[in-house]
Amino acid sequence: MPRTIQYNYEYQYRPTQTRNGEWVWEPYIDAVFALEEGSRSRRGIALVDSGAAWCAMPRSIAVDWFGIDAGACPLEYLEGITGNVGVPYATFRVKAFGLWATCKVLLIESGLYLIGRVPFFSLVGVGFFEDEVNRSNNRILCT
Amino acid sequence: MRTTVTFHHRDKVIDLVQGQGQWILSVEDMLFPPFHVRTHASSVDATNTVVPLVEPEWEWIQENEESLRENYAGRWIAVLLNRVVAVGRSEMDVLRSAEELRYENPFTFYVPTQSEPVAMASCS
Repeated sequence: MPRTIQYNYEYQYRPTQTRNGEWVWEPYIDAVFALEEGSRSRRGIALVDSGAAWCAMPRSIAVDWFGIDAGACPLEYLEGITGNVGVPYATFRVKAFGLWATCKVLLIESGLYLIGRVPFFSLVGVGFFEDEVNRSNNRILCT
Repeated sequence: MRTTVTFHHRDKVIDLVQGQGQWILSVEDMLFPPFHVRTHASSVDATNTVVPLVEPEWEWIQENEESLRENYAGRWIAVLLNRVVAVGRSEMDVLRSAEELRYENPFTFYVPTQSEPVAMASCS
């Protein structure tokens, strides 16, 4: 029986409230975003988004904190409900699940930091378990 | 060439071993199947020999959730180890404040207001 690393999923952070007043849990973990060169980094929490291919971070932080010229960045084209949208990206070193990786990070017009599948889901298996009633049962399992 | 990255998390020792283009994750005495590292312009950084699995500030924030809500609800905070070193209205504010105070690479966190998560917490 393989052992797993269990992340605390008990802390409820920025829950999404639906129109009928329900709350849903969101799986945040600690993560670090750093440029390949330079001393600045952003240490904080990020949403594990298994539906996202790429990691992402707020464009405003990329520009104002890391000094990235978003207008000069290459674009990744994503298919969305509004069509094919070009989103600038830059290469960052990202730490998640205790692993450092160098990868593409999309610079999005949102306050969210996302941990996408590439490359972390190639390195670890990630499972989400939620209990709508008892939050102490919520957990992210990483094997 | 084999590269081993060792992590320490609480009482566990976790090894990530690279060999012949594959990474093998080992938690204590358990070996997991090798993982192929895909390349989408990404790579695993094996230069760090010891990487904490969880940032200590994130653990401290979760342990001190209630007192942080009482004091900083609706604000961004910058935390180093077990201490709040700066407070701001936005993440950029708090990053700049911490930098001005010469605190390097703090852990930033938005403290939710009482009306946000407590409603659900009280139901559980």
